[in-house]
Amino acid sequence: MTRYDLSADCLYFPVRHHSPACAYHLERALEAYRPQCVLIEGPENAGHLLPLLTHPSAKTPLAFYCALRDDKGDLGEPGETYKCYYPFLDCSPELTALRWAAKAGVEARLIDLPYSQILLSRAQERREERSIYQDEAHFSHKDFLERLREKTGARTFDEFWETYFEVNGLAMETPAFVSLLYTYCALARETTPPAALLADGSLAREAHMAQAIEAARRTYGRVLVVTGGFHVEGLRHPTMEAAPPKSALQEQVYPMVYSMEAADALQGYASGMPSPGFYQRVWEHLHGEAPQDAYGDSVLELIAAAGRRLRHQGEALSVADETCALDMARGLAALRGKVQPGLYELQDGVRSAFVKGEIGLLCLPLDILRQLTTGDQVGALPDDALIPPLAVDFQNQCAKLGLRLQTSQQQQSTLQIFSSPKHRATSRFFHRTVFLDCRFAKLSKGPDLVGQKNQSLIREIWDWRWSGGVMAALVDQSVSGGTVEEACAYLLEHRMTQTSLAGEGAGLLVQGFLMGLDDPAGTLHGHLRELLVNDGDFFSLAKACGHLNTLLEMGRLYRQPDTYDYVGLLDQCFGRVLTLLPSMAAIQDEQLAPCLSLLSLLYQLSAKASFAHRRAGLLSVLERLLAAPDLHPGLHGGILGLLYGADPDWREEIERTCGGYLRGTREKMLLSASFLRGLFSMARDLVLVSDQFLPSLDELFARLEEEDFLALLPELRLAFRYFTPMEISRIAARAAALHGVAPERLRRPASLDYAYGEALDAWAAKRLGAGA
Amino acid sequence: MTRQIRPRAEERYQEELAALAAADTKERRPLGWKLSPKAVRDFILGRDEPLQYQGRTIQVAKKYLGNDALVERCVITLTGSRGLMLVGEPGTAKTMLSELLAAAISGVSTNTIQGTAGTTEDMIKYSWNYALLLSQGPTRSALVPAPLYVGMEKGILTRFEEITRTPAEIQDSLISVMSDKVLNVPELGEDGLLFAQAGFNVIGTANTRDRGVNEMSSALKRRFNFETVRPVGNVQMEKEIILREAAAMARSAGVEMAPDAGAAELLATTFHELREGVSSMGHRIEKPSAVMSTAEAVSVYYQTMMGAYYYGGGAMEIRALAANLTGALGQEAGEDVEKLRGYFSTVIRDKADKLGGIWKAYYQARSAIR
Repeated sequence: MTRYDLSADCLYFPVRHHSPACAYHLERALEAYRPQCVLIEGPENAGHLLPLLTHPSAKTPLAFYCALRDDKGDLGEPGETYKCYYPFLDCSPELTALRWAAKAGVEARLIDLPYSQILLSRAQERREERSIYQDEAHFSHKDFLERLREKTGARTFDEFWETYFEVNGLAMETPAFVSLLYTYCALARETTPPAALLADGSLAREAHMAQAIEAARRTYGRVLVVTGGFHVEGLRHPTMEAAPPKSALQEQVYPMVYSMEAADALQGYASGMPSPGFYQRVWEHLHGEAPQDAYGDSVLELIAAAGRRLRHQGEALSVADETCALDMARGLAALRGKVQPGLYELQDGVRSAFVKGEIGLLCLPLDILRQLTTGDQVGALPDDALIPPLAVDFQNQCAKLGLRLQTSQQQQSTLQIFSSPKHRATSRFFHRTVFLDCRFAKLSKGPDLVGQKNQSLIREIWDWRWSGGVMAALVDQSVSGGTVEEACAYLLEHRMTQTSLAGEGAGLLVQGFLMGLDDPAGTLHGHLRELLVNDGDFFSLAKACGHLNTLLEMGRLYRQPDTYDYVGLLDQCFGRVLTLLPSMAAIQDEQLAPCLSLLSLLYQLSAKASFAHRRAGLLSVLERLLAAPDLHPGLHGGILGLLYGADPDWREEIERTCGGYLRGTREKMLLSASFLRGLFSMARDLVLVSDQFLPSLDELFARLEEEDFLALLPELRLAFRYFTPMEISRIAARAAALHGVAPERLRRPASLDYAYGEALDAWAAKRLGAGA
Repeated sequence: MTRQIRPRAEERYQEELAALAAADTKERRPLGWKLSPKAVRDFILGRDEPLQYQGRTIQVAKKYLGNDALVERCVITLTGSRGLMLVGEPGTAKTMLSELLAAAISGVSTNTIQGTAGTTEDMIKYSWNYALLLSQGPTRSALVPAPLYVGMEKGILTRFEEITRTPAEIQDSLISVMSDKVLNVPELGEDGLLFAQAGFNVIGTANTRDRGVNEMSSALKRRFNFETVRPVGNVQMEKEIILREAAAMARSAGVEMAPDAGAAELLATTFHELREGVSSMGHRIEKPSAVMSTAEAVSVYYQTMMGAYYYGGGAMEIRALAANLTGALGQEAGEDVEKLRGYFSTVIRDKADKLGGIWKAYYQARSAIR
């Protein structure tokens, strides 16, 4: 096994990533060994970024971001993107070594394979990996670890680790600590099957790193190697030959600001430590006045901080509770054989002393503690840090459009999108940033073409705000393209190929329209045509119809050249919907509204010259639907309304059907309101213009029992919603006249007085009492 | 052989406690405690290496299955000045845990107040022997100490079972004792101040199905640390508990019968799945309103076992097991029986298809559920 030998020409220092204890002992090892060269496990193609990490104005958490687009399909599906992060915290041993080297003027090198090469070496086995590159995955999932955990009485592997390496490890001498870690890692390695090492690319990486170590040893007399402890044995005895780089995948590497939240193992960062905020605090104490009490002091501070926050939120929490939590944490540490209380004793202490009563799913004290131990720090990069072309383009665009990024205050822009070309360009830019999901701008008011709401508005009001998070998101998206436009176009096409729903596809077209993106190659158009043929979902096609109609109508308004043959697409969609329509008789209640708006849209379209040839087909399908035995009453009404619009002779049939519902069995009678709802949505003029309809409707209502009428009333109100208040007054006046009541007598005071409310209440209570 | 139905914890584990005490020489021991916190933990959670005591090898078994960290927190709470309040659904072994803690820490688990709607302050603190009171006046010998008095005087733990079932004003009589650690008996005049001896503390248990802990005054809540005890989350563990507890009950009833692991597995699975509302195969199950506690599972198992012992020639019958399940459903039986039937006709049917064997027999026994 490896020995911790300060006289050797090469010292292998094993670490767990982001472990403060490892970083602490590494500081000591660096001072004792004083290497001439420091080698770090990290992608060698990020070597040029190292000065940024150790720059005085850089602030952790930071990360290297590696991304690539596999256009040729070397790794899997062609066009797929891959990305990963290599985070650095203050307590990351790697960063400790880099900082020491920068200060001592010693060369530091990254020696691991580039991300693309690791992917290539894993390509055959693992195509659907999580994006975070995890080399400690074996650590946490081995039976060996489960046994360790069980034997030591820890609840999780991380608790075991904290007890033996973090807390008790700090109190050890560096050689003893490193030896313990060597032992542990050798055991972990021994219990990992070689096949797994091959599959996840570990062996290829180790061969590569071993070669780099060899090269450094030829130049320097004292080389320090900092790698995951798991790899030490593999580096000393590589089982593979280092291979020359395989295929040239275009890979991008950038520095980016990171957050504690993203670095938290509990939030999914697989090779991190849980609760980085807690360990950051410990790390700060280790370099403070009382390093020997680093854990105890951190626990105390966090108990007090949690208590303060709870009191702020109005919880009754006393100093006695805090004392009790601290006593609990200390007592548990003693019971568990820890020299100081750690994260788990802190959690237990808060749980015991702060929570009064039964612990449920939501527990404020534990939630607050979780936030505090995760931490909320966000890193910062030096001003001259390398930024990807996408972010540069973003900033250039902002400058061109006059959006000032110097402040992180929220700002607002009101855009006259139809009259000002510059405003239109700004609107497109905002829509692009929304599409890239970089949390820069948000449309607070304006026409929503995708949601088909507020389409009559002529201004867009945007709230926007520049922040570090936007930059991070842009770095994250930089794999999609070099400019904002390019990235959006790529994503648009990518999403189009992913969807199988025509409604979604047409929605993407609308988004592309808003972003002002052209489709020179016609790929989007071609995809959508295919979707329109293959999609068998009626409602998805209905949505597509709506979207295409929006595009057709808005094209001129937005002064955009017709990139697409909207008429052709819409006509194709129209045809598809017509073939599916006859089977839609028995829809669900919640499907009525979209169905009615689709029918109305189709009907209106067929009045236009370009779709006139569809009119006859539409009407015959509607007539056929009427014969369906389980036709939804609302749809029934809507169809009759449309047919009446095409031919007023349908009025008699409408009256007959209406009477059929209202005079039908009670169950059918209760559906009549729904019928009227459908009818009025399509043919309001039937009531307003025709002289006969209202009297016959009135006659039908008059025949109803009072009880039935009351049961019907709520839905009837919905049905009459389609009329404007003015029209309702007119209808009411005519209805009143039928019963010999003058219109004036209908007027009710604008506000109901209290006594009337009381009387109504009493009446309702009596009725309810009688019913019960 | 003793005829006692249920031996006290300190008697049942007499040897283990003695062996632990003998070996417990190095660890610090809080004043008034019979064992150190480490030894208390070992007693409840078991220890790997056996102990040598008076020439014999004594294995300290794990007695509380489930959450180890919870037990550790309980022990540490009791070393401090606050009381310990165990809350949770019925049948989650709160009482057993409180008994074990008291037996290990004070050597006595019977200094207990049973909370009921009729509990009065007399039953908690002290009352009088009226004959002596009349003849001697208020003297210490005329005073009849209740568990709280006893605990303070002797420096031992006082257990307060089902504390939330007692009226709030009676619960609140604990407040002054718990904060000042002194009990005033005004009738005794100047000698009436009883100061609590080291080792005194209170373990309360409260059942979330009864009147909840919400109705407890916040003044009293502040004097307790709360621990929520959850049902056993693991079928295998639940099965072990059923077998172990039923065997212990059988032994004390003088019943010699081999345990039936298959029946225990069926029961543990049924109870676990009905409690969680989802089966191991992913079926969504309507949860019965009755408490599907492990204690209830033990009693169903024991009932079936007794039936087999006295009527069935010593072999447990699966049909009887299924029939006894309805007994566990309690008062709300009507609807719950329907839910149980539903469970059999979906989950158990699929298990019978997939696993066969004992599950098939279980499924065939479904007609016994009435």
